[in-house]
Formats: sequence, C-alpha cells, structure tokens
Amino acid sequence: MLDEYTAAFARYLRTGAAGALSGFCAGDADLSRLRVYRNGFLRACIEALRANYPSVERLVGGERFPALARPYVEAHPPRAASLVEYGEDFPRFIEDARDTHRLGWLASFATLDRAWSEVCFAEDPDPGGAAAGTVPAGDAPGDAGARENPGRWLAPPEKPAPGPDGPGPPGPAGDVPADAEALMNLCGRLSPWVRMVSLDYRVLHAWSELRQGGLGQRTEVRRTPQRVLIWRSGAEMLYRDLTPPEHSFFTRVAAGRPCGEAAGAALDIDATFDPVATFASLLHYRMLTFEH
Amino acid sequence: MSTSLRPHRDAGTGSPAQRPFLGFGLGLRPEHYLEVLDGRPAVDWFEIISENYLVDGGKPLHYLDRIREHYPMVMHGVSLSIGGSDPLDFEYLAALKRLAARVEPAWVSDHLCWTGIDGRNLHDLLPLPYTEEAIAHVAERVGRVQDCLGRRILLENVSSYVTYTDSCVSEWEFLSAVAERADCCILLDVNNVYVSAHNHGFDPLAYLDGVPGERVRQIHLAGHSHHGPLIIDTHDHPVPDPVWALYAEAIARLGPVSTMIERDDDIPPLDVLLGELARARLLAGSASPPSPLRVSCA
Repeated sequence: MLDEYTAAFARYLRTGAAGALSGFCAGDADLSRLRVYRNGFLRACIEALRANYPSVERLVGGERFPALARPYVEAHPPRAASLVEYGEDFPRFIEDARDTHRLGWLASFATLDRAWSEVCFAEDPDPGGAAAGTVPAGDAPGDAGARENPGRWLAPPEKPAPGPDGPGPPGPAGDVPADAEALMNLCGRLSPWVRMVSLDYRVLHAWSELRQGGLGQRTEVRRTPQRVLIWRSGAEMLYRDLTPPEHSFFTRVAAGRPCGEAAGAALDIDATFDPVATFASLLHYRMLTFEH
Repeated sequence: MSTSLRPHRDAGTGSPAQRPFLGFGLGLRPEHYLEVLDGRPAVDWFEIISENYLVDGGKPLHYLDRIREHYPMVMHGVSLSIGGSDPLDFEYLAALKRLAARVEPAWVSDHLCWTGIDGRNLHDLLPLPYTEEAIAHVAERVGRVQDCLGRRILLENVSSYVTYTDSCVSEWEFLSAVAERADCCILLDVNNVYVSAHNHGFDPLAYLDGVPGERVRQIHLAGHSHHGPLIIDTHDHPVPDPVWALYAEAIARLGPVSTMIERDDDIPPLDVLLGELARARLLAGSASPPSPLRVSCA
C-alpha cells in the first residue's frame, strides 16, 4: 500500500492531478489540503533556482521569476539531497525557451551563474588558506562578489615550493617539473575549482555588475561570442575574459594536450600571446591537476 | 522489537535525568556566519542543516569548520526519506557519515516522513499514513540507518495537514511506536505539535502526554502562518505565544531538554533570535509541574 500511496503522491506533486490519492484521503477537505504539499515542493525548488541563478532572477524580476522557473522544476525535479547546486540544466532550458521569454541573452547570464556555483562549491584549491583564516567569496549576503583578474596574467611566482611548516603559497596541484622542456610536455586537466564557459553574448561585464548590486545606467550586451574562465583561489572567486589565443590555449590544455603544444597553437593565432605569463598564472592558481 | 542488532555509540535512552542536555541553541544560517564568528553570541550550541554542507568545498564548509571550533553542534537532515518506498540511499548516508566525522555532532536527526521516490528528491516533508505497515517499514529502515551511521538517530514529528482513511492510530502513537520499535530518539517539534493539533482538532497536551519522554532528546521551537482554516509550518515568523505556552507544558512534563529556535525564512537579525532564546531559557528555568489547563489551538 505504501508503494502505491507514495507513487500517487509524487505524481500529484509533479502534475497537480490528485485523483489517484482520493482513495487514501479521508475526505474532500483532506484532498484539497494536499495543495500545501504541492506548493511546498514547488516553492522549495523555485527558491533554490532563485538563489543559484541570482543574475537571471534580477534580470527577469523577482515576481516574474517563478513563471520562468516553474516549468523547469516540473520537467527537471531535483535528484540530489541538497538543493545547493540544483538547476544544472537551467541554462539550456532558458536557451530552449527563448521564444517564450524573448531574452536571447538570458542563457549567457545563466551559464555564468552556473559556472560560478560549480566553482564556489568545488573542492578547495588551497586548504591551507582556509585554515589561515581567509574567507572564500561566495553566496552569502554582503559578499563583495568576484573581482575580475587584471588584464595581464601574473608574473611567475618567486618560490612556489611549500615550506616545512605547512602549505606555502598557491602552486600547481601535483608534481610539476622544474625545467622548461619538461614543463612544455606537461599534461593535465582543469582542476575542479576552474570552469571555462563559452557564451553567445558578451555579458561578462553586465553579469559582474549584477552580482555586485545592479546594472549601470547604460550596459550594452552584444551578440558576439565570449569565452570566460572562472576559478577560485583560496579567498577569492576570480574570472577572466579570455582572448582568442588564451581560449585556444586553455581548450587544448583542458583536453589533456601538452602545455607546449597548446602554447604553440595560441601563438599561431596571435604572436603577441604571452606564454610565460599564462603559464605562471596557470601554475600559481593551480588551474591544472596533473595525473601521475 | 528492535531491528538494530549492534549497540550504538550513545546506547541507552535512559531516564530524563540521564538525557544529555546541551542547553539552548539556534539553527546556524549563512546570514549569521560573520556575526557568530566575530561576536561569539551566548548560544550554547548550533544545529546545522546537514544537506547544506554536503558539498566538496567553498564557503559553507569554511564557516562550518570555523564556527565548530567554538560551539557544539548537532546535525539535522531533511533528505533521509525514512518512510519512502525507494531503497535507502546509502550514498547519501555515506556523505552524512563523512560530515558527521567532520562535525562530531552531539547527535544526528531527520524527520518522520518521506521525501522522494524513483530517485527524485521532492524536497518537502511528506506525510505517512499512521498504519502498522508504515510503522514496521520505518522502524526497519531506522535500524539500518543507525547501523550504518553507528549511532542512534532522532526522528522529528512533522506538521500534518491531511488525514488518511487507513490511519489506525494517532500521530503521537505512530511516532511513539516507531521510536520504541526502532529504538531511536525523538526530536519533538513543539510548533509542529501545535500546528497538527490545530489542523486536525486534537488536544496538543494529549500529544505531549503520549510521547515516551525518555526518548525526547531535543525540542524545536518555531513560528507558523495562518492560511484560512489551516496553520502551515512556515518557519518564517517568531515563535507565537500559544507555542511558548505549549513549550512550557512540554518542559514541565519532560524536564530539561536541549531546545533551539528554528527559523528558515525571513531570517531576522541575530539579536532577535537571541531574544527568543532568552525567553526559552526563562520558561525552562521556571517550568512548573504539568498544568491541568488546556492550551488553546483556536
């Protein structure tokens, strides 16, 4: 009996059709009271999407957001015990629903929100930093939000090796060869705390403004592709608008190609590509996890 | 009959005098992380929502570790689905066990309800019919959960809105039967008792008199919302006076029980919750023997 009951109840929550539950409820009043549960289910999921996609929520407006989110909840009810990362397919859903909401650029904002969440709750890149009292940027109110990495990559770190009393400054995840030739042959994968996303619209600047309070008076969103790298470094969430050669470099590195090959391909695209600064940042922020 | 074959770490429900008493706590919410760390408010312990910390890294775990250094904690889950018809989710239980190893909570609790089916999590505390089949089903699963976690768990009574044709016992008899048969403890949510009593028209004092007091380890106090003839357990208001009155009755019957204020929506400044906590301390400190007066559920 329990199997039949829970199946009928779940069907009701997802569709609103309570007929199969009439045999279980004591009376018509009880049947109508079931709405409390359906409302609770939808509300929990919609509020989770609202929290996980804050730029989307601000763009469509708090009152209109449920109309956008509810069809997604009904089509993609959560599987995980936690709603902290619910909405994995929401950006694609928004893209597919563009004829309904008529906001072609909305999926690009959602893609950035999603990447942010995934990086925010990924494995910690620098546990030593957390132990030292630094505070990861993230989801709490009052958060200063992300900062955009300066246009230039970092200079090579002076001494990345950890000291004897504990973890040192951020460095590569895994063993990294010291000599340049071995470095050129190095292969790895993007670390869990790094995401690279491709957007159909250039929305990074607007998205950053939204994350930090609101849009400026004139914010332009152009329909040209944009590639963005988002990562976490101890205390900070960081992101960077990748140039075409940088995007080429990271695409190859993420696919497991040797760093030297990736740098060569980037230089073929643009001779001004700076492999030294790129390598330095890649190692400093432990963007690659090396396989042993 | 207990379905649990092995002894648990906190074995023995014992008498109220043997009940571990943590004092007066709050639910830990992200809105208060910084204030808790910087101000070290006079809170005896914090309860965390376990699922909010089942992530690989980032801010939640960072603050959890920092705050745990200064306060005892208990873990409170919302996805165990102890009454569900899906098989127990041992992947979830393994994650819960890893979190418990990190937090070292005084205890772990969840709800007497079901929350998912066919691998989907419905993220609401869904009701069970109060039947012998449900009692046996839940008790057997609690036994396996306790074996897996290596500790006795607490089950919380949820608010209820619907009456089922097949129910053959009262809500408190259902809760008591599950706790006795599974040999688990009880998290008594006084607000939920009040809400259910209002919605179904029973006497909340009969509920308090009916639960096995020696198994009650923790009390939740919360607010609710009125929606026509129904009261809904929304946790978005201060604890109302009738719930405070019922809490006094509960303490008079049970003796000292670790008590916390549970607020999940429209989170107020920490000072407001500390004020409610002070009221709980005051009421518990002046608890008198059981009163013959009825608590109004109008």
